[in-house]
Amino acid sequence: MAAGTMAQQILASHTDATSVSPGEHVTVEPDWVLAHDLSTYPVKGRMAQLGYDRVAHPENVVIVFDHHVPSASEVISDHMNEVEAWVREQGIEHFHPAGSGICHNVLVEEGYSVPGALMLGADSHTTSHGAYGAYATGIGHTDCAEVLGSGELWLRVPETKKLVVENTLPEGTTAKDLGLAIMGRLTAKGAIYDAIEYHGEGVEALAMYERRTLSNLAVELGAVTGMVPPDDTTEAYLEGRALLDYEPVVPREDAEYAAEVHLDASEVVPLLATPSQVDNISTVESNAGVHVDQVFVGSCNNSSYEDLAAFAGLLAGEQVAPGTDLVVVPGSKQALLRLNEEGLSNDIVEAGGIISPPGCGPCFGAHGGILGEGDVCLGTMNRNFPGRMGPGEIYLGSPETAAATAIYGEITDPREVR
Amino acid sequence: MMERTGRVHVLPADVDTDQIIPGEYLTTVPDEELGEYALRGYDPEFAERVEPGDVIVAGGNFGLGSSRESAAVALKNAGIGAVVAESFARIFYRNAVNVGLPIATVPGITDHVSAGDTLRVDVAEGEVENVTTGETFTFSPLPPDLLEILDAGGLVALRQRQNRSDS
Repeated sequence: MAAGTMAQQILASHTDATSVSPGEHVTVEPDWVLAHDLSTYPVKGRMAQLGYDRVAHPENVVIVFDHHVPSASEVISDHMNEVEAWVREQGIEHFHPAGSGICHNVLVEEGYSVPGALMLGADSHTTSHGAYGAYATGIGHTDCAEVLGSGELWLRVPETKKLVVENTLPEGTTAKDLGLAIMGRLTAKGAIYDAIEYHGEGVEALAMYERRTLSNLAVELGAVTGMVPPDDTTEAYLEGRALLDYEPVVPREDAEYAAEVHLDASEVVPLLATPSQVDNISTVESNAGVHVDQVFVGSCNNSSYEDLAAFAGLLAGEQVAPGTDLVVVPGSKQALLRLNEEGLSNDIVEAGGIISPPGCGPCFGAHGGILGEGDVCLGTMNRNFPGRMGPGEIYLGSPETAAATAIYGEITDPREVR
Repeated sequence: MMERTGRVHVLPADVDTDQIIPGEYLTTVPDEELGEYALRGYDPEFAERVEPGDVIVAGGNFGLGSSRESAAVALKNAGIGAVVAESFARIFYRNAVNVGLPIATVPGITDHVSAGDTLRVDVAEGEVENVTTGETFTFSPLPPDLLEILDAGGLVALRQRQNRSDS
C-alpha cells in the first residue's frame, strides 16, 4: 500500500483509516475551516439551506475580513454587518476584522498554519499553507457550509507530483520568478487534481514567505495543494507562534509519486506571466519597454513584510514615472506596522506610491485600483485572467520587477536598478 | 433523469471563473439573478443567447481559478443543461456537483463538436452523443455518491428531499 506521500499521511490522520490511496474518497475532519467576508456571506446562506443552524466546531473556524475592505458600497457593508453578527452568534472567536490583512497572511502570522494540519478554506489560495507542511485546499460555498455544519467533508485522495528544484536561485531573482518558472514548466493544467510536493535545495534555501509564494501558486497549476516538507526553517518560524501542537509530516521512503519533475533554480531569470494566462511565461528582459499604466504590489502571493521591504528598498530615493500609478497593499497589519517602523512606508509614499489598507486590494476586481480600457498593469499577484481587474491587461512579476517597472514606467529588469 | 439534450456552445480551453462570473457581481447579485451575468467576462452577450437546456462544450481546465461557487450557479441559472469539457478545474468540479450542474469530462470532445450541434449528455451512463453527426463518446461516470447529489439537483436539494422523506 502506497501511503507515504505527505498528502496521504495527512489525509489518513484526519480520517478513521490507517492509510488512504489516490482516487479514494475519504471523509475528513479538518483542523481549521477558513472563510473571508466575500465567501462567508454566501456560505452562511447555504448553511441555512442545508438545514444547519449551528457551526459544529466554532473553535476550529477562522473568519477574516479581507476582500471588501474598507467597504465600497452600502450593500457590501450590510453583508459584512450581517456576517459579523453571525460570527458572534455562532461563538466563532477566531475572527479577524477589516484591517487585519489577507486571510492567508493572517493565518500564517498568527500561527494557525502548522505541519500536518488539514485546512479547508473558502478561498482558492488556501493552498498557501502547504508551505508550512499543511494539507490545505480551497473549497466552494456549499462544501464550506457542509463542513461548518457537520464538522466533516468528503475529499478525493490525490496523486502527488514531486517537484525537485535543484541548486539555488541566482542573485537578482526571487521565489516569484521560481514560481513562474514552475508555471512555465508545468502549465496551468499541469497538476489538475494532484497534490504537489516541493523538494530540493532550491526550495530548502527559501524563507517561509518565499515558500508561501510557491504554495500559493499551486492552485494556478490546477493542484489541490502544494506542500513543502517541514524542516528547521519551518520549526524556527513556528516556535512560539504555533496555535496547535503538531507532528511534522514528511514523505516516507515508500512514497509513490505520479510524476517527478526536476527544475534547475540556477537557470532562473526574472520572469513574467504575460496577458492573459498564468502560464504565458516569458522573461522580463524580452518584455522590457512595455508601457505600464499601473504597478500593483500586493495580494496573497507577494505582500509579506519581506516582499514589500525588498520592493521599497529598490524604490527608495527614486520617483515613480509620470503616467504610471503605484498601488501598494500590505498583506497584513503586521506587515504594515513593520514597514512603518522601518521607515519604508515613507520611501514608498515619497516616491509617489499609494499605500492602501491591508487586504486583497484590487486583485479580485472589486475596488481600489481597477484598470480602465486599454490600461496595462504589472502586478505581483497570482492571476492575470482576462477582465480580472477590469478591462485592462495584467503582467505578473516579482516585487523587485514591480519596483524597477514603477521607476521607469515600463517593464524593466530589476537587475538593472540594483 | 440525468440525461440532457441541448444545442452546443463551444468555448476554448482555460475559461476561468473571472470570465464565468466577474468579481464585481459576487455577493452583490443574488443567486437567482446570477444567470444574467453568466460568462459576462468572456462574452457580455453570452447569457442572452442561451436557451434553456443548452450545453457548453469546452477545452481543458474549465473553471480554473477562484473557489467562487457563483460560477457554477451562474451557468446553471442561465439555463445551461450540462458542461462537457476536456477537463475541469478541481474546485469548479466540486461546485458544479454541489449546485446540481451536470458535468462530463470527455478528453478530445472539442474535436468532434461544432457550435450549434445538438448534444445528448447522459451523466449517469457516461455517454455523450453528438445527435447532429451521430458520433458517440463514453466516459467514466461520476461515483454514485456524487451522482446522487447531481440527480437531486444539488446538495441543498438532496438534503431537502431527505428531510421531507424523514418527516
